[in-house]
Amino acid sequence: MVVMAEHDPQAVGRPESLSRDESDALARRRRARNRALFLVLLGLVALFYALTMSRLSEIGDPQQWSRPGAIAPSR
Amino acid sequence: MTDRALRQGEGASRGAGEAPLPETLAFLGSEPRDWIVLLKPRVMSLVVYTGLIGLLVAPVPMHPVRAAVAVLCIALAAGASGAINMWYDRDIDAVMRRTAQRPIPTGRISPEAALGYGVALAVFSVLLMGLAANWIAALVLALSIAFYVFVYTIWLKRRTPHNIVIGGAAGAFPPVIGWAAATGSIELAPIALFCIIFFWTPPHFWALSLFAHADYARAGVPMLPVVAGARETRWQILIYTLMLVAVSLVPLALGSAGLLYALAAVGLGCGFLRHAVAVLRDRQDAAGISLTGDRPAKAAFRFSITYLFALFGVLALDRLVATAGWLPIWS
Repeated sequence: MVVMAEHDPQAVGRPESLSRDESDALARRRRARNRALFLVLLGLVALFYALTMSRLSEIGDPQQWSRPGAIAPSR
Repeated sequence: MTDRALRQGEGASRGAGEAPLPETLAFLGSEPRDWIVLLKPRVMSLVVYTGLIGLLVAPVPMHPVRAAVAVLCIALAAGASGAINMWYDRDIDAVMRRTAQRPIPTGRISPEAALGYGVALAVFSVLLMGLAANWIAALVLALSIAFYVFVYTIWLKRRTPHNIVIGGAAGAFPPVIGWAAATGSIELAPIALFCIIFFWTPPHFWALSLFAHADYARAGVPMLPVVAGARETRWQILIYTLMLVAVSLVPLALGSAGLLYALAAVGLGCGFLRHAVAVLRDRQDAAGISLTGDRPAKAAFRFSITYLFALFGVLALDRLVATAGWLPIWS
């Protein structure tokens, strides 16, 4: 049975065996990329939270939403 | 062995000036900083600065969070354009000494990944600008990205020595975007700021290309010194600097700047003109090649950066002073 190997773009040009230093460096870079991606995602959450809050602050007092022409539906 | 040591080994195995060999340690993949380098952070800083000034001098105040997001969008869009530019120019980057160590020529980031990254960032920045500020600003932002990628990078850069003149418009958009983000409109005042950056770009880049023309010639990029010669380039620097100084006075005529700005525009303009004349009168051979190691051109290049930062900084200060009522705005 032929097993299809998963495509790994980083495997292109990779030697068949890695030295310990190279293996460590590979793992270190992968960890650094994962951490950076985590920070980017965290930043996006903070960004959209701040943006939503600033938009909400412009809408004004929720107590006033029932007045005619208000953005939100009356309660 | 540390990652840095491996990287130094990687650089040493190539040798200075050689085309880099992607097969050395490229399989280690990228580091986070490679993705930052792809955004051309040095170019981005000037774009962010001029965009911020456009936002600050606009007559309509903006919520600080939304203003910060708008500036972030301008930065991301500039970075996206830079990434797409690096993807397209990867062949000439590999042969230019200044750019040979960039992530794509060295193989740390694949061209496809760089393109995907640039396009995704471009789309994200435009949508975010629309949500955070308004869709007029988002439209101008999209236009600036398209202009840089399609008009400058793909169409003009390799075809004409006037690539910088027309392509410079791409870098002139940020104050218009900043103004549009705050006001939701485009008026004469931000267009004047656009014109200042537009006329500032040629002398800035031609000063650089005077002392880096060998790199451009090797890569086959038709920069003015390569095509028309150094002597002609020196004259063009002076002519465009004269036009820049004239255009820098337009905000005064429009009544959008006051006394502080007038003093700065005249003083900085005289300084830039002095540098342009020094470039023209540099000791040179019959072909116009400098015999002084292009010292005046290097000084003019450095001064041009100071010029733009200072001029726009004083414009914002001038607006602040006028808003506080300390000095009148001329109208």
